[in-house]
Amino acid sequence: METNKDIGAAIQHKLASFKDRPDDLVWDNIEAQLQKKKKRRFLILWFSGLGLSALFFLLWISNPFQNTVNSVIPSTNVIILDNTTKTATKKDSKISYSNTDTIINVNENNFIVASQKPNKNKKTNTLVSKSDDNISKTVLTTAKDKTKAPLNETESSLKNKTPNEITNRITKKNTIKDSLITYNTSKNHQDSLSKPNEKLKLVSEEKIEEKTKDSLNTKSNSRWSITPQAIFSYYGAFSSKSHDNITNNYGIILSYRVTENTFLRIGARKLNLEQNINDFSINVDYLEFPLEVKYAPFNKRLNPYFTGGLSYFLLQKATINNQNNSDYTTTFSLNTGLGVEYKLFKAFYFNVESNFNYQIKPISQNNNINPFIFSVNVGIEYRF
Amino acid sequence: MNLEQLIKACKKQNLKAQSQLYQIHKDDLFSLCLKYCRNKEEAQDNLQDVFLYIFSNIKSYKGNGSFEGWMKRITINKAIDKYKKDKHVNIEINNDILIDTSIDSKALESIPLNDILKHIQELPTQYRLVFNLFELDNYTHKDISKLLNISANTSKSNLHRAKSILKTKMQKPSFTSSKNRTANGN
Repeated sequence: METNKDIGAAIQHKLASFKDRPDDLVWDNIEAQLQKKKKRRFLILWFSGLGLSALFFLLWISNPFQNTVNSVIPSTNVIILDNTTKTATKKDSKISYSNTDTIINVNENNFIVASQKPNKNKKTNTLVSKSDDNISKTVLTTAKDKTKAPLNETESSLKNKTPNEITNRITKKNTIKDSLITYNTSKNHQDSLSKPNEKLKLVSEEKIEEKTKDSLNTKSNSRWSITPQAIFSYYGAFSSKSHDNITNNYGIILSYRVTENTFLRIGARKLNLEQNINDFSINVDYLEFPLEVKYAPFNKRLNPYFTGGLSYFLLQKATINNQNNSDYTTTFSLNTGLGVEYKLFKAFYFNVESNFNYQIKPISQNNNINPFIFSVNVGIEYRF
Repeated sequence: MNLEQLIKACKKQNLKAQSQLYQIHKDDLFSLCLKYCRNKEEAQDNLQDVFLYIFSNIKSYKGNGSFEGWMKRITINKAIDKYKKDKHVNIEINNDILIDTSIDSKALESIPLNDILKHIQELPTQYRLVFNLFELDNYTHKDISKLLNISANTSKSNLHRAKSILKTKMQKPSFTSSKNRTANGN
């Protein structure tokens, strides 16, 4: 007997039990694609990190936050120009020449010849910048010149002095070196108002010290520094709760001062990290090589700073549940940190900093963890 | 590892979990691919695309509805995407349309599964998709019209033509003797 049925329903019924399996090649292709994607993702992260670090580094090199008082002096009244190196002054000191009243020329015999330009508006004083191998940048002050007589006195007194004499006096105590001195316009202005008869004089060493004290009191000329560190490391994971994961480690940092506030530093750290997540424990020994930029926006005795950069981790040993296990022998981390340094004496500084390292790759791809290291580093820095 | 843990691990791009998920669901999804594609090779390509898509987008699965259903929808959509890319391929027009598309179910029982599958695969792509969507996966003509960018009436017409072709092929005397042929076209 025929039992007619719609062909669609009949096929549906028939195919309900149909099952077939793909070739193994399919998974091989999928796996290869997944690995490729992971590699690409890693490279993207790595280059992003590198790019950010480079950007960070370039920003600090250009030092956009540096105090512009150092380089732009308004209402400059007196400038020493060295006839033999006329361009040096401008080039080295980057001084604004607006409102210049008096120009002191240094002739070929190295004697100062002062000349005056009339100044009708300005009460402010003066800065003299002289860039020369023998003459450091100096600051001179002058009061508002209302009569010519006092100026002539000054001229005559200056005429007998060579630039070397002037600057030797000023630089004797080694308070100013290699950089333009911060100029305190308002302070000078007060001085000139209180002593109207004083027209032009060299600022004494003490006065320069006083003027520059605030901004330079902790300024060090040392470019290099070395910092042995004791490190308290917390090896955590974003995805899982971990416990018993604080270890003590050590390391050393070599730092180079790139600009007044910026330091480039490299180092080496020996890390023994532990992590206990649920039913398994991870123990990892790494050699860490950080490459970081340190930025200290202030120059105070107690000085906060920021750090940022990358670390390369070289695996020494890895065990998971006491079994040797590691899929990756190297990894990288993106680092950021916050610290504070305190000048102890001379070239010795006490440093405390907290660092956060986000590791790009875990120790094993079988564990679903995104590890990070949070550490507190304590060290004594020696600058030389 | 249960399904929930597996999904969680896959969301973290854990390769082991991804492999496990593939092993569990590969046969079901491959069988589905075979129905929607023209041959085994195309079905395997589709399966590969499906799993890569699943692993890349598994974070978008929020646990609403069954995970199997979610994967199945992706599989079907991938096959439809392929059809849309190759839409310029001409549809074979069969003018010998049968009015009656019923078939003796006992006669159908004697036909090997692979043969039935092969004839589904040989349907013109649009007919095949409409037939699969409507008959095997319970989509409505309205849903099909949206998925394939055709009208509901076109969908109905395509379904009827697909059934007519299948009936014609299955009633051919030589058909039932081709038991050794596989759905792979080998």
